[in-house]
Amino acid sequence: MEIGKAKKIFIVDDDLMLTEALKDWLTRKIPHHVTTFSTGEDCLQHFSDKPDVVILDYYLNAISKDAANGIEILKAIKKYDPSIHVIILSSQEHYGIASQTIQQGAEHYVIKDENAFEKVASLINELG
Amino acid sequence: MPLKCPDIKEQRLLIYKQLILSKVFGYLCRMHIYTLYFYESFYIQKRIFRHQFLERFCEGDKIRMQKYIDMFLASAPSLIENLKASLNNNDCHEIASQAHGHKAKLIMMGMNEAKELASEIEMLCRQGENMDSIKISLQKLVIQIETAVSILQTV
Repeated sequence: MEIGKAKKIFIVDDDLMLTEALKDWLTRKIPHHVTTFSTGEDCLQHFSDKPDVVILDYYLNAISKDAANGIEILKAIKKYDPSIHVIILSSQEHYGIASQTIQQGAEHYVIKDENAFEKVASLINELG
Repeated sequence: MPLKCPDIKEQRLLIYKQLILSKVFGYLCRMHIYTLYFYESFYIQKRIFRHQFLERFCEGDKIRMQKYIDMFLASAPSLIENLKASLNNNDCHEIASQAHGHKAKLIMMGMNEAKELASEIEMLCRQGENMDSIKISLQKLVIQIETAVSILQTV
């Protein structure tokens, strides 16, 4: 497998265990610079750091009940900078939600399953 | 004609044999029960928690595995409490949110059956199904998580 170059990655997910595990996985072979956020609002406040990739969950209200969902954050990201790559990583298996995120500009929609981390790492390596 | 007296020695031997047989039988019964209990516990453990995913993810690193197990154990009490509270409040939206939000953890812990239950509960809630069927699935999910916690605490 061709190893890509290191990228600046934001992970936005309200599941702290998952963000820790995903960060662990992504930095294992390539020294990506990974920052994690539990809400989209926190992530947007740090956008001056100019991430290359944002990995975004759909539902983000486990910790903060009023937190915006992934679609709203995705729209805000694309409005700020359309060149930022966004990968949606969600447990939602509903086709309608997946197609909605792609229509709003997400590059990929990955369902959280046993192979999700490998898929996300592979997609990040493929991005320019 | 004199009565034939039973041979006392033979009687003693008979009683002794019966005693030995009953002890052996009792021992075999106990061993059978212990074996059944062992296999039932083993089977239940294998059904509820499979460590293969975590082992593969952590590349066999036991310290790393323990870190994620500890994270799961730390989050489990509030998860169980929130599920029970949403069940008591008959709050379908909250039940769906809780069930959805913790599926990733269940996958990481190899709790596939629990993850399927969580998916089912989320779907039932979002479809506005009868609370009784949701409650049954939710109670099963809580039992699965509680059982997994008790197993993982001994690991």
